[in-house]
Amino acid sequence: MPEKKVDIDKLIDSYSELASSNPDILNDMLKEQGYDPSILEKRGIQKVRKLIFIQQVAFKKANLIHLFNRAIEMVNAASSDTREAILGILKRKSPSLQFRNLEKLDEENLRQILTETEVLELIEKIEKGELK
Amino acid sequence: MIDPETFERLKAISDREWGDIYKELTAYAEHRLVKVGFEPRSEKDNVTGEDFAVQAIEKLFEGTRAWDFRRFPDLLIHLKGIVKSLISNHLKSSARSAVRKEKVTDEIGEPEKLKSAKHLLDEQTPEQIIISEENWKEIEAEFGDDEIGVLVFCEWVDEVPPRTIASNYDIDIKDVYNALKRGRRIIQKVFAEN
Repeated sequence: MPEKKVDIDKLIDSYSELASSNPDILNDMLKEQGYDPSILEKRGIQKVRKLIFIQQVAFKKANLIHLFNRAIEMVNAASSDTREAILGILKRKSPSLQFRNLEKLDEENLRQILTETEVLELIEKIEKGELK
Repeated sequence: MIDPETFERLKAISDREWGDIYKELTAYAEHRLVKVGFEPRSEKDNVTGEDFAVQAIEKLFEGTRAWDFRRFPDLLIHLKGIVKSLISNHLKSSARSAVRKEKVTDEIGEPEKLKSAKHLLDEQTPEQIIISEENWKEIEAEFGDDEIGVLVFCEWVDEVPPRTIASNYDIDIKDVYNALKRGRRIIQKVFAEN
């Protein structure tokens, strides 16, 4: 055979296609590479489950922060009567509330005072104009 | 952060499918680390193929290597692209020492600039290895009486897909695999000796 230039990427892809074509071939390749295919598979599934869980927690936290920020925006945009009513609700929930007005209320303060359900109720009441 | 729609797509993939993806990705990474047998591993930082498979899947879930599932629906191809760039980066940084004088290694694109899916696998300048006339003589001698084996191996090196080889010689895909497995062992020996 004469000298030949080999495109190594194509050979890698071609060899990998064998693994996709037959599970026995894939398992044999992995054994050749020093892996136990069934243990590797379990490890992979566990790894992905963990990543899904972490991501779900991150999404939930982001949604919660967004929700409380939305409530803060609504409080800031509310009329003075509504703001007084909101201040009253917050003081009843947290008698040790340090501030006398809502100017310094931020998302973190609000999360310490209200639960997720309570902030949803607050948003609903503000939207319906029930706080006066 | 990953976008919620892509995350829902990933969540919809069954455990069984994830298991297969993980295994295939690991095997792919191992083949890439040794260039399917043409180059022994010699870098100091001996990271495994599984490590690269994990890194690729983590980047997918973090959204740092976003998956455009509408344009490139095959997730495994997308993950292979990520693994390819990670390994390329790793080999550059670890300064692999065993470089054959015949080998022509072209510059590979900057990993961070790589995009998504199959074109990511295709767009990099190909890396080539030269099999000399002398190498061929040694390879043929190592195959001995196994005439089909050497023919299958030559066809593979000529970039004929394994399924086509199986069809051409009217043999099972597993026989093609066995011939290539033998061929890979031979080239490992031939290239290690030279």
